[in-house]
Amino acid sequence: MMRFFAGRLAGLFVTLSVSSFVVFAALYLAPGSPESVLLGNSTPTPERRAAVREQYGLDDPFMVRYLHWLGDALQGDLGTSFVGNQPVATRIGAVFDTTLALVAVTAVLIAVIGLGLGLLSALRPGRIDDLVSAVTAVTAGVPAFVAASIGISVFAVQLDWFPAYGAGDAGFIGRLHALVLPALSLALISSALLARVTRAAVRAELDKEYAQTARARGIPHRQVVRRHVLPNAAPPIVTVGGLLVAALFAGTVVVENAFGLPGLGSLLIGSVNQKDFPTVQAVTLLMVTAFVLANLAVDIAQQLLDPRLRQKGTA
Amino acid sequence: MNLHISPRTSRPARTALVGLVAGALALTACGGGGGDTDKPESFAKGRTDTPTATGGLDSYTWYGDYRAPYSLDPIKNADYPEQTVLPNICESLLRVKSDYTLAPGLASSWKQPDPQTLAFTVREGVKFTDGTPMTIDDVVFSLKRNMNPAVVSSYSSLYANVASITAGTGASARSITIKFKKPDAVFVNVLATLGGSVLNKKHAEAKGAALGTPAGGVLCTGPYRVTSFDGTNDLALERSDHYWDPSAVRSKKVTFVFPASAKALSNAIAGKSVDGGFNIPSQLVPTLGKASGGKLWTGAEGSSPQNLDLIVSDLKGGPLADARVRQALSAAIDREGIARSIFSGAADPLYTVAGPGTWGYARNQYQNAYDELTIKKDPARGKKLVTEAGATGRKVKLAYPTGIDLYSSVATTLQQAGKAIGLDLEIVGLPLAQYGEMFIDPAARKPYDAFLTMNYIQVMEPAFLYGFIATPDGPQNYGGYNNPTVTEKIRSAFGTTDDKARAGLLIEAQKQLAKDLPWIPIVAPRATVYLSDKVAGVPLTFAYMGRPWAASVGAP
Repeated sequence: MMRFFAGRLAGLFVTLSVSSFVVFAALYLAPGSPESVLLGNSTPTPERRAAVREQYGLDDPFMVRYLHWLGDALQGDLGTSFVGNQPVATRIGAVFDTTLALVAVTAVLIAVIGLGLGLLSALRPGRIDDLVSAVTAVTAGVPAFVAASIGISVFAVQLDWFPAYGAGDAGFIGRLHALVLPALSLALISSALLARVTRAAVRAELDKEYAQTARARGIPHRQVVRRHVLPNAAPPIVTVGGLLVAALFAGTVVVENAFGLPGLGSLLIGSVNQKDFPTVQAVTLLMVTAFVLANLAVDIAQQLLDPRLRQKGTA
Repeated sequence: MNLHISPRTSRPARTALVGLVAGALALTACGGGGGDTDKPESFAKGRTDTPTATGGLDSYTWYGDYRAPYSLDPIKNADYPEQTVLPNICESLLRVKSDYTLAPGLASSWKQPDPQTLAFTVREGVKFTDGTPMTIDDVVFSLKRNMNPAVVSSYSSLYANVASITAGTGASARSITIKFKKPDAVFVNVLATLGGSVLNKKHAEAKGAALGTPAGGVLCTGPYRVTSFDGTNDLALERSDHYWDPSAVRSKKVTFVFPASAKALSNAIAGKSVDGGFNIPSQLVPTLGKASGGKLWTGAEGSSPQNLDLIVSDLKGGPLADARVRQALSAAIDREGIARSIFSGAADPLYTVAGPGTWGYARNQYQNAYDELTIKKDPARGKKLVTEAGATGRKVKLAYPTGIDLYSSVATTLQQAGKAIGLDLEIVGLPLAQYGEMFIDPAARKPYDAFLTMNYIQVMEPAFLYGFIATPDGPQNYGGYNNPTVTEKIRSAFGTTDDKARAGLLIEAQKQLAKDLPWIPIVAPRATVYLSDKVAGVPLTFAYMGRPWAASVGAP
């Protein structure tokens, strides 16, 4: 298990290094410059422009800038944003919890809806299965931005059940209330996918010989499902579910924009437009880290769920 | 020969800016649009205000434009969000009335005893939001910050002609005198922008570089103080207990929200998460015009100083170097069609860069001169001019920012106009960051013959606009325009304190510019204001940028 973790940590480090380099290079090569933010949008004199470029090291060669940034980041200093002279960490701190809460609520929705529908479908062949399959087939094709638009016009504007915009009133309930629609929009595709995977996995196990034999021996269906079928079907479901949740960190960008949620996605878009290198770097790395960590969690869960893999891991 | 208004004023920045801003906001072109009958029901000709509020409110939510302010320091950035929000926090010496005339603010009176001197008396009994009294020292310090190169004020160039700022002594201890290097008839307007705002010297000095950041904050005298701001999220204000004119403040709390796109704004309005906002993107005009629970107000012609123009980036070479080709293109543009269909009627054809929305004085005089410069769409004349210039079939490369339907629609319209007169217009969409470079870097402009821009000025003085775009060292003179007669008229105008005489000089310069067309004016959008049924009491012009407007907002 230790070796497993060490390998994963090394992998995380390599992933972060590569992605930070790629992001930095992409931003560096993209046309435009951050000066319109740095110079307060006034047309600068050449001297003033030079002074600002010097102050922020914008004229340094690419590798110098990258290594400088990397060095600071390794010491825990994410730098100062080009926007409003704020520490990058402060800007991220202001929005991080919103995105985290959105991902958490979405993950819960995916699990509940996806597993629920998948199990229902697998265990109740016939009409219910057909209905669920039809519904999931449709929703699996609805992108988050479309779901957001429909959700806003129906549930926020016409029915007035949820706010159409913003992070909601202060307090846990208020925040949660504002997150329901965005999380639902985001969860729609993923839960449909998870439902289909769940249905397939459970069905496969049900059809296996051991399950048939157990039932033939008179063991109650419920017990067979709970004791044997579900644990055996779990690994693929957990893997797919985990990956879907991991991918959410990138998916939040779209719904945050549609619902005016001040989260990491909104911050990323704004920072890219302003060529705010330090913030883009930090947000991207945060998203990559979250993705890699979520993957790690999936792997661990898999190890714990699958006895054969667990044995290999400890050998 | 330096123009005494410096070449790099904050105003022209707006060109670059509005490009970006509009990027975020002004999408549009909802198909045909329709004729006059489709104009919003609330279309109010000649109005400069929405109806006055009659009662107070506990709180309301306002559209603070397309992003949160970069800083609370009033002079750090000059763009829509800052100019919408900050005047309510940090007051200026003067204010702008809805018809753009000046009124007292933190200065109770002002006068210009001679062309090189401006004197004003500072209001008594003004306190900062922490209860400490505002002193003359605070005022002098705040104005002088604009001249400190280390501060990088967005308004620094407007102070370029200031020689000294001094406080009086003895009996005139409440007076402050500004001396100019050269006669200056227009600087007084700057005192009604955030460039004339006052903050607490002690607080500002103590905060240093952190001033205006969420951590450092700002200490001013406005009717509201900031209760929550993190640079990314909503910005909340609460009524100041120490405001010098408490009866003028109707509502207790204001929350500003900053939806990044027109779509998000539209959602927010539809879901009643926003009670009102200025500068509503033209894309939303048709839908909000029919919205229930609120009303979209469109101002009269001249209600906004915004102007959409085609900037000729090179007047010395290329197909547009010949004035006849520029005149031909101008003649071929369907200004009325653009205003009607791309702006859904919330814009007017524009025939001079400084149109009706920039006339802060001598309006009749400017109007008469403007009427003479009105042209009808005339492709036949255009074609003739192009032929005369020997430019038939020549390729003209025109740049516009991508991601904004407004610009691509206008670019396409221009392309068709070009075709009608025998010019081959190639339109090139550029990503916002790259497009923004055009305003800073000559190398970025070089590949293009012209580029589209939306520009606005906050100071209603055509002298500024023409100084920027048409004098040899004007900061927005991207094409290298140089006509000594025009330069002379504009420079004289800056020093002419008599409004009529100044307008006369500018009108003469304008007449020549309408022939030379270093910038080709297209349309002027009108002011658009959304108000839910819950709120009332805002200007229907851009005057909101020059006064603490949130104080007058209340229940209808």
